[in-house]
Amino acid sequence: MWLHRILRDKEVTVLGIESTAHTIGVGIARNRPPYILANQYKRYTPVMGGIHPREASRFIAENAPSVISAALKEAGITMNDINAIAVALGPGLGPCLRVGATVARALSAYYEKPLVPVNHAIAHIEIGNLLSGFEDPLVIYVSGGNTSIIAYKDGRYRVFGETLDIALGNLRDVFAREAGLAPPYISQGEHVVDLCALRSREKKLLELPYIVKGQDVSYSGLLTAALNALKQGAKLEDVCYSLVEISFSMILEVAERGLAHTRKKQVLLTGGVSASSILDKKTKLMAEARGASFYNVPRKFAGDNGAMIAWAGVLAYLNNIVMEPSEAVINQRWRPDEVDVPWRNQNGRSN
Amino acid sequence: MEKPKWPFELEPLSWGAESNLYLTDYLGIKAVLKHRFPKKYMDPRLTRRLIKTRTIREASLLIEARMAGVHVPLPLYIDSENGILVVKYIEGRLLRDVIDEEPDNVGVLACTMGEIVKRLHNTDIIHGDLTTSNFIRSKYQGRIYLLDFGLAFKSRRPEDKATDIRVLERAVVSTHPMLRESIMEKFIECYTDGLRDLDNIMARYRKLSLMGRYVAERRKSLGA
Repeated sequence: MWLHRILRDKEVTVLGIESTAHTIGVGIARNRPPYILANQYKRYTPVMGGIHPREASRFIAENAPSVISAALKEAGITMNDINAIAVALGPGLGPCLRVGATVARALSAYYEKPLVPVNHAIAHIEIGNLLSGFEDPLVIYVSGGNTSIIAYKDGRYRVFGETLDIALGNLRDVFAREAGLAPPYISQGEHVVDLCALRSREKKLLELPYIVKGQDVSYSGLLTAALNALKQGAKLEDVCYSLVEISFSMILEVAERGLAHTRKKQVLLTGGVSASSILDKKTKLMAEARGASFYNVPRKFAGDNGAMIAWAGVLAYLNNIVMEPSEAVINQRWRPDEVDVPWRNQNGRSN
Repeated sequence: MEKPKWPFELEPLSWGAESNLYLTDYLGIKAVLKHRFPKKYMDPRLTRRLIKTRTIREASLLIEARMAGVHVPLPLYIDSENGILVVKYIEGRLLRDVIDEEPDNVGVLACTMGEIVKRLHNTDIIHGDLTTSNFIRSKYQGRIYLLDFGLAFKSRRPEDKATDIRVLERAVVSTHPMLRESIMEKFIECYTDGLRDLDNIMARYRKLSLMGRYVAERRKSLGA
């Protein structure tokens, strides 16, 4: 079992702070079962329009103290029991990242705890590995700000394919907003665009652009074409159905190529969009056809959250990845393939 | 795995993400059958539509490339409804292996690849998957053929042509890491000799190296 090594290490408890976009999340993780001791968050939802970075960052600043207290309370511990402070330094929205980084630097300096830098995308992957027990999956990471196919090779998580323009979640949110379906974006746990697609009786498939270039996808043309179809009088439910079918097929086709190319035998679906039941079903079909096992990260650990930052913080801290508060600078475009992951060995297994 | 509807004998060659390849005999000609199969995770109409357009596109681009003077396995039979494309079998060795076996020949081979891609780009065909495994040296005349137009498309945009070269470079780096410079230098020299829209393509190519997946390099070069 891949957890063996970190269980042999001394016991460490890490508090993790997530503030890359609309969520202020604080989690607490430990290298002992049950691993995740707390996972508290508050999510900013704009009344109208998309996420305004300034408004979101103000929301995060206002709510950070109460979320930190709630996390400590949930874990039943105090700051004295914490060994290190982990923080997501990117990728994400600058103003939001800065608030989380400021809070983390302050906690680190005041309580004299080491500061652990965490890459948000890698945190998504690592908590998925923890929950699934997977050792070396192909990762489909789909959210409002990210759309990537990622797999481990030679010391790093490599981006096998990605979107050339907007993210899958962004495509869905903007369409929902422009079509008058949102806010709210989620109803009964499902995205309104999916619910709209399920209402389509005829399931008419419109000729919308399907753009896969090698290992990458492009969604901006699809968004424009879907909105144009709506303006030209196509039925809303049919446009939703076509948008959902085409956008999911595009990313799964690239994922399937990645699976064939990397010969991985496990598929991990994560990020905010993984909550979609339609995507869950389709990904399962794709993995089955390739003889791969499949795991969809549960909602509260798939959307942005602090527990994943804390857990990735545990892995990094045990490998002595720490920095001075003065060095902890955010990086809005911090790619996962720029980060060494020493906690995995050559085979992609945690050693 | 779904078998294609085909009256002749089939011998499996390889299973890909998008298609399966079989060795077959078509009216006495040794041939390769490429079968694009429907995806279970897609709407049946969508997967059929993609299979049909991609099969037709691949066949027509193969013919267009041949007319532009590039040696390719010529299409012998097409059934786009069932995703079947049969092309002539080229007997020979993949350049991936030839390069490793004949290091003295690297310059000549890289130059030939450059000339082939130049001809392709001069007729606005983008291959989409250039690797040294997609070039083959035929056993009989020693000619170099370009294979697999499965991801090929038409475009006159300099960035698409530049991306094609960048994809090849990426493949060379991972397949022949020690020969990267000698291959790419000679390739570029022969590729650019007589290339239409040379300046725009090469400007894009240099920019691409500092973009997207290579953000860290770009940031460093900007002193960030």
